[in-house]
Amino acid sequence: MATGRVPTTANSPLTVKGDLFTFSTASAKLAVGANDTALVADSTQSTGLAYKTKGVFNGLTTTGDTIYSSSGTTQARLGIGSTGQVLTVASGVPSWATPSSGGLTVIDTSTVANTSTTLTISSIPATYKHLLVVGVGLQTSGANDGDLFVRVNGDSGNNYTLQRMHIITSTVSGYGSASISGISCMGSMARTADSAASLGEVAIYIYNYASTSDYKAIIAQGGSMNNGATTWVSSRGTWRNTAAVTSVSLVDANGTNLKAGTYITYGWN
Amino acid sequence: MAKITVKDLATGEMYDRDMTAEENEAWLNDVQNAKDKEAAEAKAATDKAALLAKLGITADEAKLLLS
Repeated sequence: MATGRVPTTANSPLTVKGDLFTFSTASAKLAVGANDTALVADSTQSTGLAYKTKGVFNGLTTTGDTIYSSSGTTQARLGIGSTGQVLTVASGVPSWATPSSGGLTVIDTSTVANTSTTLTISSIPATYKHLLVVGVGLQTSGANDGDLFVRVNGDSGNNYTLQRMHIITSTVSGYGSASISGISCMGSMARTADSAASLGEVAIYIYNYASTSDYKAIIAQGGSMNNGATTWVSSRGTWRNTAAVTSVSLVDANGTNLKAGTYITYGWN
Repeated sequence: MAKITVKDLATGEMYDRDMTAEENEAWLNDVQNAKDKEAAEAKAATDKAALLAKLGITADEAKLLLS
């Protein structure tokens, strides 16, 4: 029976499992490829077909997924990591991981605008090792001297220890307390009449803030140009509580509003 | 009543609210402590100047004596 190019058993060129009957300028056989190869169009071949290592065309399920070789030509899917993670290598293959050292991540930037005496940064994520709050351009709306305090978790009780060194121009003083209601950061904030070109700055470090087993060490250093004199404070204190720190408050103890300043909160790994 | 500016990192919201009575009391205590500290530092400076005048020496000469 005539069947065109459809081979009969008698005239079929197919001899081995997986052979394909194809065509170039005449009928031709294409032998099956190696395991895990795929049939693709290839105009350089006489039949226009070839078995090749599979390309990246499957396995992706989620936005951000990537494909990598888990072993030789074996493909694997790498699901997208979470925010802040970086691509790294573990056991010879790629993976997403939270940076383990040396990284500062900006969590928040808040600017005060003479509407309140206190800035509270709340709902701080517990995903970092340490916290660093940097304040720049700090000024009180008051006419007199007044400190800037830092407190955590809204605790205004005498639950902090403090050792504080203060320099006004070149005069050094200091004190310590085993029971105080906050950590001194500034000595004297720039007053409302002080030059906007030389306001205050502060850096507040809170170590192991997410720990639920340690008291929290707080180191604060700050200074300003206050009423014509340079003033600088270095404080080391402890919040005598093992709860994780979830909020940080900056308190103007001058009796007036926080007139100006931007506070940048960093997570630190 | 004094106000607090709250930045809630869970929602991204920033808003002002009145202090609670407890917060206000704590803050007033801070203000008083700051005033007391300022007064104490001013008194210490005045006392120091008076003592130097009584001794008839300068601050630098006093440092030299203590070095």
